[in-house]
Amino acid sequence: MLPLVLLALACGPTDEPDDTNAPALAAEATLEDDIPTVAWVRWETDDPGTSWVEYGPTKDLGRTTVPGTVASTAHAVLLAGMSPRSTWYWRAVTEIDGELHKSKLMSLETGVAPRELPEVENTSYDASLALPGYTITTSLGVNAWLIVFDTEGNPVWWKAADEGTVFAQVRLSPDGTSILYNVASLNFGTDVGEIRRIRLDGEQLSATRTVMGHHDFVGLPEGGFAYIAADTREWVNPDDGLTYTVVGDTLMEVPEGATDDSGNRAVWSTWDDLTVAVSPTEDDDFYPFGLDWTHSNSLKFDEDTGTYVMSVRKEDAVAQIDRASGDLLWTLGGVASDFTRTEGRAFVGQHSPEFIAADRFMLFDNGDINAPDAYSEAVEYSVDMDARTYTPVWHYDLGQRISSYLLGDVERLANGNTLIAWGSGGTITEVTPDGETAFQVSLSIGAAIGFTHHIDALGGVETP
Amino acid sequence: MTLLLLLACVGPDTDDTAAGFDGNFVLTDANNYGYTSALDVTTQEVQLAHDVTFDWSGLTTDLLGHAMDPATDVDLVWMVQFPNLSEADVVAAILTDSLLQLDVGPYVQFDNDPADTTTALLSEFVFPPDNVIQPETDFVDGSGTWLVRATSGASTNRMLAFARPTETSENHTFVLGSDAAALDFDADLQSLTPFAFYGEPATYTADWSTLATHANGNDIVLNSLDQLMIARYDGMTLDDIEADFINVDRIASDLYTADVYDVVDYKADLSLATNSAGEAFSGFGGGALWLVALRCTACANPAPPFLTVVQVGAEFTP
Repeated sequence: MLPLVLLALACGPTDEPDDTNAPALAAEATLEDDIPTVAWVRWETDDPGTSWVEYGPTKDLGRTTVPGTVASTAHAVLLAGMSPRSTWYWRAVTEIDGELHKSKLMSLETGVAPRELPEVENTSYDASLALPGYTITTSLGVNAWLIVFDTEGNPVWWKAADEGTVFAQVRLSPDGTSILYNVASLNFGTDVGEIRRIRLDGEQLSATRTVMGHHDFVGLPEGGFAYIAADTREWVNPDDGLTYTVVGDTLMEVPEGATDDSGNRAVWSTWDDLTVAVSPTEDDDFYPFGLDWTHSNSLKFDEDTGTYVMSVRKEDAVAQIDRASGDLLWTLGGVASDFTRTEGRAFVGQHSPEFIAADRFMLFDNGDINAPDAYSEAVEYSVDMDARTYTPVWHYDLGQRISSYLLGDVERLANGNTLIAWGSGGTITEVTPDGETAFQVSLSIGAAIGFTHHIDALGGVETP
Repeated sequence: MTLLLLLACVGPDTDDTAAGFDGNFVLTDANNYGYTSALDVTTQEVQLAHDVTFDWSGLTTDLLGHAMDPATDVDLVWMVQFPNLSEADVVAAILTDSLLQLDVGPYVQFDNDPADTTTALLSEFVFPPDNVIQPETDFVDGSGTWLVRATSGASTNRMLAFARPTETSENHTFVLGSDAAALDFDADLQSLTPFAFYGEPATYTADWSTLATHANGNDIVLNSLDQLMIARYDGMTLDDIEADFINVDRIASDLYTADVYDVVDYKADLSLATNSAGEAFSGFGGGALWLVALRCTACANPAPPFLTVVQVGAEFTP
């Protein structure tokens, strides 16, 4: 779909003098209809060249899109990361045979964010502590959204979920030009699992069917994805001899663009190695078609070791799986752990475990939500792979203010800070190693937060 | 109350023509009214750890005193736990629109779609798709403050009440009736600087881009102001309006509204506002009392964050 575009409001040249004697490029910016904080800048040149746009919230500009790599006479550059209801300045640039050709300094007025977006309140940002950039996340609740926030808590990019569907994971593609997210049915009564890739202007680039997919996926180095799929089987309870329909999980791989499961490869299933533990009387009705056994909820892939790390929530366990063989290498946490915790509390109902070094991993410990004074926290552990022990070395719990009963995420940032998504607490915090708040956004009542990631920059060069 | 005639006249004293005023209302904090609000929310004890029945069949009047149909006007019933807030904290946060998800423990909702019921069991409430509140383990003594909230749409509060699980109660039915809560305002329309002008400009515009302070004294959030209201009151005084401020829109002789959420620069042509007959606002007639307000329709507290008095010419008599 080629979206309708609006001529940028109040778009025009400023009174700034040109800084070159060359004729100015004649470029035009158009705001996207659905995301009026995203604009395409288009222009043509007689001779082929590579292009970019300098832009920013003041006439000093300060930002530059990623320069194109293919010389062309038709240039289209996407501007993103602009805050709503604000004036932005921009200048188009084309390099032809080493010579820079520029447009006049222009301006545009960005549009308004949808009123249905969760309201952001209680924002704090300390530029001396925070990692500059953006935060991409999913929100759940009355309305489901993909949202990118800037450091002031402004939504700068968004996408609403289709009726009856929900988002969990969202990631910026490694090249920064598209956004990947997964879709599932709100109540899993209908399987609509997909991983979608959309350009920053909202144009869908691909849809990959993920049969019974839920919670998380990860891009694979050669292309395609791995994802978590519900794996439903009949199970005879040895205690009462009755047969139950039980939902475990399978780690699947799928080529991008697959329209069904014919190209899928099952890497590993919880049914292969874990012992079923369900209670027909205490099931939380997460799945309408069976008892929720493992409820795996996040997935990471380590290209260096060729292994997956999957969080198996209801086993309170982290599992490492060899991609090539599909073997379960170990589990950490829970009743069947191959590792021993040396101190600290046991993690419960965790999300997003990830190794940040060969001997360090982090996770979001939701905690035992049924316990008195329950609270969630982000935890970093050191791991002794030889001794099979793990030890908490850092944690942050936001004053034990949140006990998140769903989702949650943790990410170690390049500056050493930690980005934490507090799930049902509807809050995102960037915290320093010393526990100082560098950045925080809190959503108004009714909106929870899903998986969350830091983004250094938005925007790039493409030809739609 | 005594009217303070702090007129922010923008027209010449003697020229009663359009040349006196260019038609652009630059709304400032000095023009804004003030209010305090009181929310009285009742608490009902129910038996702890029980799958309580919620019954809103008697909810025929909402917390503003307006008639409603309990079956068709209630779209969602919410059960929200605040682990660390008292009932007074929750009331205060509702009045100032400062409730955050950060303060919420488990919350569940009953989606009354299709609108055909007025009762539901706690176990039927979900945070889709989960049934995240288990009465036996979650709805227990000491589990915090529980707010029951019936809304039209997702955000318009129609009724509120607190549920308190106790060991001694044998009550298995939580009744959310018309008397569960009441909201009232004490508005001061007479200490503000009225927007007074002479003449009849060809067009009227409003510019609220420089507003900084909410009528409740807090910082104003400009992008939450989504409705422009222009109201005329024939034969009424400011005292009359203050006395029934909760119905400030309903008691107007003529009411014009416009959706201004999408107004990028917080400036709007007043002719965008239309009345119930679909007629566009065409100007302030002399001799009547006029109010101009900016409302936040998604806010928990329906009092307008901004409201001012417009005085037209010398004929104005408050």
